[in-house]
Amino acid sequence: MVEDAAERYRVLCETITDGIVSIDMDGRLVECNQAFADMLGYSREELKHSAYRELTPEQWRETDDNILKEQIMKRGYSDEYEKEYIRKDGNLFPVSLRAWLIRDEAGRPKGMRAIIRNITERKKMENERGNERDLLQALMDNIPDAIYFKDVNSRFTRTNLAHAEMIGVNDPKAAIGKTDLDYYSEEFAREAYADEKKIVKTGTPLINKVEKIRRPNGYAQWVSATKVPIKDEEGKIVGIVGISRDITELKRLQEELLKSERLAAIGQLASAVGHEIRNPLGVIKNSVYFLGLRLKDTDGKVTKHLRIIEKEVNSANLIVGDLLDFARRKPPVLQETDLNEILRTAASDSFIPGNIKLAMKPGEMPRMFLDQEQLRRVFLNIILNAVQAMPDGGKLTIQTSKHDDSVRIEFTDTGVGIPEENLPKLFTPLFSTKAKGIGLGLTVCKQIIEAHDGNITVKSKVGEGSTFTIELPIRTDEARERSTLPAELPLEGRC
Amino acid sequence: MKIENKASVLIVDDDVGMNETLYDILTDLGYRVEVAKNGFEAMEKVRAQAFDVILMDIKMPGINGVETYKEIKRMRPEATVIMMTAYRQEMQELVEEAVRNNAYTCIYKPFDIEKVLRLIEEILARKTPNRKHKKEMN
Repeated sequence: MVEDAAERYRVLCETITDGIVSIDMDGRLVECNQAFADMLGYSREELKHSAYRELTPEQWRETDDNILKEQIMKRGYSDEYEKEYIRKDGNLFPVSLRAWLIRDEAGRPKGMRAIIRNITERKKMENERGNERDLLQALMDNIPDAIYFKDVNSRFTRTNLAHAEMIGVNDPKAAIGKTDLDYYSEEFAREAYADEKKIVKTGTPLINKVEKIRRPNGYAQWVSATKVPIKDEEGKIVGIVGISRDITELKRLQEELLKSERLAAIGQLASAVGHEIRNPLGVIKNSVYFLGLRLKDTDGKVTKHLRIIEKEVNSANLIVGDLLDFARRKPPVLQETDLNEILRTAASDSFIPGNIKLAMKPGEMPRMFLDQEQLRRVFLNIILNAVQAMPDGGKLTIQTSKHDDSVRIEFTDTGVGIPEENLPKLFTPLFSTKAKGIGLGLTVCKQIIEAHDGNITVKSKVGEGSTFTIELPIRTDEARERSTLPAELPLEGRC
Repeated sequence: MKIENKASVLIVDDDVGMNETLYDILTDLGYRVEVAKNGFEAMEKVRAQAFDVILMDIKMPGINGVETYKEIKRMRPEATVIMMTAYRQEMQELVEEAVRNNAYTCIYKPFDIEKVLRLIEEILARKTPNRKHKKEMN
């Protein structure tokens, strides 16, 4: 029986893939199995009687000593612990081992025996997993998209910084255990919950669903949400991972595109209608003139009415002009220009009633490259507005001045002024407070000035008057890039 | 404005209203006026007689005003033509082409007829500084 047991122990030792080693109390290796020798790259003969301590790298010897002292000598065995060995070729490798004390028949410690497992492969896998974890963490922390993991009950289990920012918390960990209901409107949270339930139930991912959410700061945000199920090894769904991408800017651009397409369509219509109106206006003017030639009026009333017709035709023509300018938006044709001269022409072409005093205060102007005709239109428009703002007369001051790299043109009237609530709408299309006019005059002015890289602003006080200020950059180079045209130029080059 | 020598004017426009009003005004002022509704009619008229001034619309069906103008210039190099259009920007290239080919000027509808009358006077004055405008014509 005894022989049988010894034989069985021997077979076990030789077939087991773990290393087995015996050491005497002097630290000499007494015997080991083939697996241990293979692990270290020595033959069993080489190892016999060698100093066991030498097989352990310097940095692990203190661990060995402590375990010997605190565990093995005290209670007869050690916990399983990890350390490294030095192979014959000098390389280190990790092991996990457990050692126990062997006593002689009298019970005195005779030596130790240890079972050693080579854990190189396990360590490698652990490292890889660790690397993957680090990569995932880095990805999650740095990606601008909100990423979150949820359990099957839609509770957050892990989230990233972008997600924390989206829900308005500082620390991604703050959301763990919470649900959408804690951060979003009930309506939104319910819909998201229903989506996630469906994913968990069917395993079908949700791809790029466009959602509008309200940020804690009150701003609306558009996101494209993708949610996919997470499965365990058996394929059972254990949660979902979601990515929400901010597409607010994209949405805004889409809307702007739609708006500019709509404006382009309006522009085409405006252009066609505008021209068709100009022809009959021309004929009416001719007819009025002819009637004037023929009618010898006695009481002046007929003449008065002919004048009225002519005046109305002219103002209709101005509106058509605005409409066409708005529809056309031609890039400026730059020519070397005397700005004060354009102003003088515009002022003399404007009808300024006798009860309005015009004060021209031209400052010294540099030669500039501008589109004369476009600027003349702007000036005519602003002067006309000023005149209309002073039905009972007043004073219009037009002043030019040169600054460092720009010139300023100011039109100051003593008219009725513009109510504060109307100021922001002043340059938007189709805004008008006039009985006549479709609200394109100042829109066109702004387009033209901006196409010259300048800007136009207004200050006004009801009952005191308004000042329109145009600032234009001083440019001496005619051949400057025209790539700075406003984005909305849908009608350029079209008839 | 009194025209002693009854200068001749040709109006070329597909717009009947424009033709009729210009015709009435100019004849009332003493001009001899002819009207053509399109480029081909205009060429016929010019082939038949020389005009002191031609008012020519640009956008017409069939042959446009500028092409008509060039044909007329081939027939009568001394012809003086004022182009007309309601399409200031859209017709810009055609206007420039006409001006390059020595069209007198281009006026934009709706125009002040007095301005047109001044232009006609100006042309007549240039052609006949001493008011004997027939001198240059065959």
